[in-house]
Order: sequence, then C-alpha cells, then structure tokens
Amino acid sequence: MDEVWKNLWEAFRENDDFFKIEQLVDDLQLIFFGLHSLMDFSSTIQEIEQVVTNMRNEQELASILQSLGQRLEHQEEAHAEILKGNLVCCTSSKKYFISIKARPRTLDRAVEAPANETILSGPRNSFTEDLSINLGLMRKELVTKDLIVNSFLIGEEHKKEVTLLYVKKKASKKLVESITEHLRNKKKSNLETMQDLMKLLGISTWTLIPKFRITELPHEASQALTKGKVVFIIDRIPFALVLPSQLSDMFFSENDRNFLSPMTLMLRCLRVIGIFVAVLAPGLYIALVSVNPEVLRIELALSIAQSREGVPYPALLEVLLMLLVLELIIEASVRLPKSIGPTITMVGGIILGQAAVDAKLVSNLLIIVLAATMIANSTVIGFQNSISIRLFKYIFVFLASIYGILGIFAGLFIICSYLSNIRTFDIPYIPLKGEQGDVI
Amino acid sequence: MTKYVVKVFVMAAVLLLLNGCWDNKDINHRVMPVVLGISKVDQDFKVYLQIPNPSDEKIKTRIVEESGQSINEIISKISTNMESQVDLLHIKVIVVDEQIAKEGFNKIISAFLRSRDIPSKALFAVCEDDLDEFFAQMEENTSAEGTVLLDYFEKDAGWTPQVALTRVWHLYRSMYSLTHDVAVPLLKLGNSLKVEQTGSGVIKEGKMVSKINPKETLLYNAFNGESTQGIIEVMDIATVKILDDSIRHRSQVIGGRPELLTTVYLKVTVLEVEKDTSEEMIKKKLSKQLENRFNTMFANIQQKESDILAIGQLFRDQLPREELKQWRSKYYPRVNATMDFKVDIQNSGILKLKTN
Amino acid sequence: MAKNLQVPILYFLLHLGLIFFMYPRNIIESTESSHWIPIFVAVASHFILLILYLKGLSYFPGQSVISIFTEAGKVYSFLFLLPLFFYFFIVLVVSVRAYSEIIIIIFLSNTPLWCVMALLLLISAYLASLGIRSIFRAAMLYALLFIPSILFVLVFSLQNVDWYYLLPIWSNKFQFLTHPSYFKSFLAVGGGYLFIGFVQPALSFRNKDILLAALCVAPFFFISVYIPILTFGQETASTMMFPFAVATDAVNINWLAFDRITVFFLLCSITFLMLFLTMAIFTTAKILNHYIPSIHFQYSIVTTVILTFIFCIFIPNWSELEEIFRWSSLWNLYVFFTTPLLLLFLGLRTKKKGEKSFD
Repeated sequence: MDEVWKNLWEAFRENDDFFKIEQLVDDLQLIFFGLHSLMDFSSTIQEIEQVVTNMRNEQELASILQSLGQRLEHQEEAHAEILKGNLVCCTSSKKYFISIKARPRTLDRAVEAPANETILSGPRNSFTEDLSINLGLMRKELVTKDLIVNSFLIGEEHKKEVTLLYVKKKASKKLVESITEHLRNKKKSNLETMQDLMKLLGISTWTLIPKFRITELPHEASQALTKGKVVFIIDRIPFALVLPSQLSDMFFSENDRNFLSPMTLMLRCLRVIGIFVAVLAPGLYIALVSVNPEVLRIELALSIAQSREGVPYPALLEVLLMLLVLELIIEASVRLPKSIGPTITMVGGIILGQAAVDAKLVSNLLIIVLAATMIANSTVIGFQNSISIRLFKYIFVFLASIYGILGIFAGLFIICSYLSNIRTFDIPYIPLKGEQGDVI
Repeated sequence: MTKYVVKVFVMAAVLLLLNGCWDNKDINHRVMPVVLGISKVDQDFKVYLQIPNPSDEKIKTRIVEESGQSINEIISKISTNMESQVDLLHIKVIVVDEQIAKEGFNKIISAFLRSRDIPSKALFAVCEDDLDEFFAQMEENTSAEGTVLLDYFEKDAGWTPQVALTRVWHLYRSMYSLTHDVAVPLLKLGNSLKVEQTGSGVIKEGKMVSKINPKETLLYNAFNGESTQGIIEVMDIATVKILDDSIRHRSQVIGGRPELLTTVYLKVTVLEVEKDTSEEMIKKKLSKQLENRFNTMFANIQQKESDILAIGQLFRDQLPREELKQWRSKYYPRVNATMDFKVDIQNSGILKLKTN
Repeated sequence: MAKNLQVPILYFLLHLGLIFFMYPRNIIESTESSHWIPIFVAVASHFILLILYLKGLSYFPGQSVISIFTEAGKVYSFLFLLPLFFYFFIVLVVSVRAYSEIIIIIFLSNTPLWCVMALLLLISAYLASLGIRSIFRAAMLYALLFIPSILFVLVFSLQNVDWYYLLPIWSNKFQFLTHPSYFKSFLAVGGGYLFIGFVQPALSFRNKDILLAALCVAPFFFISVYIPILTFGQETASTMMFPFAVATDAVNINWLAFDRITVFFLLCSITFLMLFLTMAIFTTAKILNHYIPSIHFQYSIVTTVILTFIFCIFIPNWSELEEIFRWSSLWNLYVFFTTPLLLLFLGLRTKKKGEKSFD
C-alpha cells in the first residue's frame, strides 16, 4: 500500500511547501497531500472532519470523501490536482486517491473596475486572472442556456486551461468546429501569449491587424458572443480574446449604446474621423510642405513657410524625428511606474511644446499636426488597434515624401487592399453586406 | 501570403532607397510670388514678381524684377539668382502694361496655360501706369500681409461689381471662342487709395481695342451674371442702391440681322431723394439713365467688334456653325440690341416715399 | 441568385477611372458640335455590347471566359483568347504609360517618369496578387472613400458653366463615326466590360445589377465631356490635352483650405484607374497562367508587371504613345465586338446541343 503514495511523495519531496499529513479518523488512517502555498489546510481539514465524524466503516468513509471531491485512478491525475491547489487523500487500504476541493488561499484580486478600457456608462466589472471567476462573470452577463463553455488543457510541461465560449445557433458551426479541431490537434504546444494562441489556431502572427479583439469587459465579450463570435478565456490572463476581430471593433463599442442614438452616432463619427486624422495627418503634412505646396491656399502656405523658416532638415526627417520622440514618450509612459509617470509627461511636454520649436529644430505647425495625430490615435478603441494605426501612418509618411498627395492616395489604396484581404477562419475583416451568398 | 506582404514591403523599401529625394524642395525653400507684372521695354520683356517674404515676426513683401526675351526665361533667371526656387503656382494676379495689352498677349496666355506653372485661376489686369512706378509704390505701401492687390479682387474682401473679374482661363477662352470676348480691369496708381480702378479694357482676340468706364463695367458684369448688389446709382433726383438684378434675353435673326431684346429686372432701395419725387419718377429716370449708358457702351464695343457681352452666345443655335465663325465681323456690328430696364423699388428705407 | 453588389460597384469604378482623362479629349476632337450624339452612340453601343456579353455568359453559368473558350476548342482559344490577352496587355502598357505622363504633367513635375510607373504597377500588382475576391471588396472600400469627393468636385465644377455652349443641340454631321479619335475614345466605352467574364467562378452577380451600374456610369460619359465644353466652349476645349482637368482647375472655392481641388479629384479617379490596372494585370496573368500552367499564378503576375514596365520604359514620348493608341484602337474594336458575339454564338450552340441530347 505504501507504493501508492510513495511515488507521489517522491514527485513533490523537494518542495518545502508540500506536506503530507497522516491522520487517524476513528480507526482509519488517512493520508493527506497538498501544497501549503495554494490552500488553507487547517480550515479545510476542519470541514472534512465535520463530515467524517461518526463514520463507522471504511467503505462508508471512502464514499463520503468521494462525494466531497473525486476519485483519481492515476498518479498523474493526482499530480495535477495537487498543482491545482486541491487536497489529495488516500486511505491505507485503497489503491486510489481522492481529491477534495480545498479552501483556496486568496491569491487573486477581487473583481475590479477595468484599468485599460475606461467606461463612462455601462457595467464596470472587468476580468481578473482567475478562470472560474471570469467564466462566472460571463455567465452572469449572458443568462442563456445556449452559452456553451468548452474547456481544453493545453501544454506539455505545464498545462494551461483554455475555455472556448460561444453561443449555440449564433456562432457559425464551421468556425467552432475548426477551432476545436485546431485545439485538439495541438494539445502539446505551450500556451503563454497571444502569439502562442495564434500559432495554435494556425493564424499567421505576421499581420498588421490584430486577429483577436482583446477586451477586459465581460459586457463587450458577451455582446460579441451574441453576434456570433467566439471568445477565448485563458487561465491567468485577465482579458477575453474575441475571435474574429473586425474593422468595426475599432470604432464601435457596445457601451456606445448606453447613450442616446444621436450621441452614439456622433461618438462613432468622431472615432472614424480620428482614425483618418491619425493615419493621414503626418503624411499630409509632408506632402503639402515638400511636394505639393500649390494645393494650399497662399495664406496658409505663407504661414507654414514662416513657421518652417530656419528648420535645418527636410520635412521627412523632421517628421520622423518628432514621431520617434513621440513614440518613445508613449512607450516610456507605459513602462514607468505610476509614481514616476507624470515626470515623463512633463518632460515630454517641454520637448514637444516649446523647446523644439524655440531651438528651430521643427516647425510649430508640425507640433500641432503631431499632437493632433496622437490625440486622434487615442480615440481608437482597443490598445492593439491603436498600435496598428500607429504603424500605418509610416506608410503614408514615406509614400508622401516621394509622391506627395499621390503617395497618400497610393497609401490608402495599399491599406484598403490589405484590409480587404484579411480573413480569419474565412471570416473577412471587413464584412460587407453585398458579399453574402458568394461561391467560396 | 505572409511572404508576399514582406516582399512588397521590401520592394517599397528598395524604391525608397533608390530614389532618395529628388527635386522636392520644402516650402520654406520656395518663394511664392503672388503678383506677376509683365511690361515690355523695346523688344524685351520685363517681369516683376511681388513676393511675400516670410521672416521671423511678420510677412514682408519684396519686388524682384528681371528682363529677358521670354517670360519663362526670365523666371528661370530669377530662380537662379535667388536663394530659393521660384514657384509660380501661387500667382494670384497678373498685371501687364498697356503696351503689351495693345500688342496682344495671346502668346503669354497660352504659355501660362500650357506649362501649368501659373494657375488658370489667376486674375488678369492691365496697368495704365508704368509698371516700374506701380510696383515701386506697391513695395512701399504694402502692409504686412503683402496681398493688397489680391484683396482688391478677392470676392470676400475688396471686390465691387464695378471691377471686371477676368481670369487667365477667361482670356484663353476668348482667344479661341467665336462668340465670347472679355474685358479686363484697368488699374492706375491712386492718390489716396493705393490702387484706383479706371474702368475696363475691352479685349478682342487677345488685344485691348478699347476702354469702358467703371459704370459700364457694371453693366458688363450684370450681363455676365455677376451680381451687381450694393452698387449705388446717382441721379439728379435721387440716389438708389441696387439690391438684386436678373436678366432675360430674347434673340432672333430677322433677315440676316440679329435682333436682341434684353430685359433687366432691377430691385433697388432708395437712399437719398429730392423733395417731391415719386416712385414712378425714380423708376423712369433710372431706367432711362441705364439705357443711355448701355447704348453708349454698346455702340463703342460694337464698333470695335468685340463681343464682351457674349451676345453671340445667344445666337449659337440660330446661325449655322460656318456663319458663326464670322460672327464678329459679319453679324455682330449689325446687332440691334434693345435694353429694357424694369426697375422695382423694393423699399425706401424707414422713411415714406410719395407714391405717385 | 444572391444579391451581390461588388461586381456592379467595381464595374462602376472601372469606368469612372477611364472616363475623365482621355475620353473628353477624344470626343471633343472627333466632332465640332452636338457632342451628345457621339456620346450617345458610344453609350448605346456600350449597352448593346454589355447585354450581348451578359447574354452570352448566361449560357455558361459559373464559368469564366477562359474556360468557355478552352472548352470550345483550340481554334477558338487561339482566335479569341489570345487576342484578348494581347488586348489586355496593350491596354495595360498604354494606360500605365499615359497616366504616369498625366500625373507628371499635372502634379508631380519633379518626379521621374519610371518612378510613377513603378508605383502604379506595383500597387496594382499587389492588389491583383491578393486574388479576385480581395479586389472586389477593396473596390467597395474605394467606392465608400472616394465617390463622395468625386461628386463634390463635379458639383462645384458647374460653377463656371455657360449653358449657351450647349447650343446648337442638333447637328446632322456624322463624320465622327470615321474619325480616328472616336475609335480611341472606345477604350473608355468598352474597356471595362470584358472583365466581367473573368469574375465568374469566384463571385456571382445578377445581370440586372450590372446593367444598373452601366446605367449609373452613363451620365458620367456626358458630364466628363460637357463640363469642359460648357466652361470653355468647343473651340477652346479642343486645344487642350486634358480638358476636364483644366476645367476643374478653373474652379474657385473661397472657403476651402485647399486651393486646387483638381488634385483631389484627379487622384480619386487615378485610384479608380489603379483598380482598372489591377483588373488588367489580373486577367492578363490569368490568361498567361492558363497557357503556361506550370508557373505559379503570383509569378505570372510578376512576369506581367515586369514585361509591362519594360514596354512602358521603351515608349519614349507622347506622340509615340499616340501612335500606339491609334493602331491599338482598331485591335480594341476587334476585341470589343467579336468577343461578345462569339460568346453568344458558342452559347447558342451549346444550348442547341443540350436540347438535342435531351431528345
């Protein structure tokens, strides 16, 4: 009988937070295993004792314990249960383990308001790291029996739990089937990051547009579900990944609908304009300043010329330099702790606001253009999308420096072509009504 | 697929490296003249450019002049001599002297349109003074913006309906059109005002053949559909302001002689009035005065065979094309045009007016 | 059949890209007055050809022109598919060269010609390489982005119009029918409709929608010619290379931040032209691929682009280009008229065969 738990002991022996406690309940000897770091042992054992007292025979006891948890036949299962933070017990006579749901230590934060997606009106819960809490949040948002939750354990050395959520009848069968197939076939690969998940699903990671929409908000995720998309929730990742993402995700948020219709329309228009400004403004500046100044009105042309008087570089270099500074500021303010963050804002403000212009390094119109770009860039929904937009503007900057306004139109042509080609599991990034009923 | 995207980007990068930066000059390395003056000295052209010069605090203006055999040659000469490239795409006003206007500027206008260096929207004017003096005065007088001459023609700034608005493409059109001539504004240095308008030059096939005065220019503008709103007409019994005008034509060819009956509906308001003047009197007087003015002007331009009122346009469908080609010489001098001014007094301000 | 708007929209855009540059000049050259008559004849023949073509295609549901001609036999494939190939190739070369020249004349006077040609070809090839479905959905995006600004400029270019230039309305001279410029103008009339034959296995469309698109295009044939005519008059407009561009150049809008709205208008139509180039590259490469199936489709696109670029480089000047235009216009006419007729003939033949085999 020792053999049964000896192996278990061997597997975890080196860990100091591993415990093995033998206990006599009446005449029966029970051996408990677990990890201190994951469970509150004393209160767990108290609970068990309350149930177990006055049990006469061993048979009865075993069945009672099983009712508290589940019976495990294999050694490996026991390992996994211990790592999950459950209490594993074995009796001296039986050849199997029983895992008992232990009282966990509180290692997770509570459900809080979202940190990255601010909401003005609408539900304020956001996902946390714990999978079951996240699932619970989803269940609360979407009260329907059609919500299907499929779990997968992915990974070789360490397993990660991934759940796939979809609404029956709404999500396309083909989509769900091909995703499940991908997940089943690649159980062995590791899953830590978004890129891992993309590789798992057979999506190329070399795209300029996020294939997933990332959201912290259960409300957004559940609304996406009702529109026939699928949602991945991964253990230890505090957001939901909505697949597939679509162009409209950039400017349409479900929370907009908490405003009156005209306001919704206005907000959405603002975001669309924002995207155009963010993408086009620096390119347009270059085109108008260095290639096609004849397009400007004379009054405007003169004041731009005046503001550029004494600037030593060509417009392209000027814009690239300032964009670099700007991107560095953004990156720095993400990286820095909150307490030092304001310093960056201040220093950045000094560089951009006054010093660069006073030193005649850049024209003050450029500062206005870039500030507008940055502001407009932030109107996009979702940080991932805003990074894509940040990247796109460089295409315009380079093309405009060569071809002027023609370059800007060429850039639009390229980007439209690119966007229209993007498909995830054969669902196009830009859904067009007119396309329905195509022969595929 | 991914590979292809990468390929395209590599190609774009190569393209970028290959071409470098050719002749794209930044805006502060270009000079953008707003007024172009052309005069003729003996056989040579002399070109004046009025350039607003952005400097640290405000915009100053300077005049550059150069002479040579052709305008483009002179421009390139100026370009070489100046520190920046001359960019004519912002020219707003072109001023030529009377000598050029009388000799004809067909070549200049076609050159402008062909090279597309000078916008076809640029306004055209003839200066009665010597251009040397004119531009010297401009440089002296011009305020910070450097666009006095421009504002003078700008519809939302200083333009009035007594100034003909003629753009380069209008002139180009009149060079080829069978039935459509234009008038160009005549400028002169003023005493108290910087620029004084002395009327319009009547152009026939690219040459100035006659002049009309500002009041007649008003009629010209009315005929061409420009609004005449705000113009003040003075009579011995009253002064009125034109509020609105509309125009109707009836044209027919009778026995090879074009007949035109034009009715002009005017809406006016009374500003000043002599005692004991009735509405009817003002109406009669005003239409008589305008009719006389029209008849004088028409006799003038008819004699010079210049159809600045575009009367030929009205006969386009009544004369066969071959005949239309002789419009200016054969038909136009024989046009019998009758003007009928229908005046309506819309209001008399806040004072009453005698009704009969 | 499902409602599918992409094909009609692309059809519309292709023609918009072709109409505004060469077409007005060719028509104005071809006749002295009453320009609506030649335009009307052209538009009518456009409709007739289109209807014949659609009728012919409808006998072969779900088949592209390539497979139809191949099934019909070697002779047909040689007589009609090969000319089609050369037609698309010549059109590609000529339009890339011509439009690069136009771009340089109008707004990039400092840029070398090869560089503009490379840009036009590269980005069109990029879109072509993404496949037919992407081309069509991209077309919808362009329509959304650019059509408003085109309409805006069109409305404003009415500013300088003198309606008397419409007169005289009727003229009984029909020499335009034999004028070489009139044949050249057929590039805009017939250049777009042949593409529909290559759409089919990938995308479906309703004939009615295509005809509707053609109906929407029809006014633009008139507008593009009549705006310069009404602004300048025939006598003046006939002296211009690109009358429409000059006419929009004369538009003066005081309240806009930009001085030259022409640039935006022309660029919008250049974008549509790039769509045309895309389709031309796509079809050329498709036919090439059909004859040489061993190379990958994307490589046949690359081959097409490189060949086009080389040919373009070898056209030294505009008058040479005009020369090529002249002789290619006859070739174009052959292709425009024989392809739909042959298709109809083949269609009727298969139908008869089908009926016989039923008996």
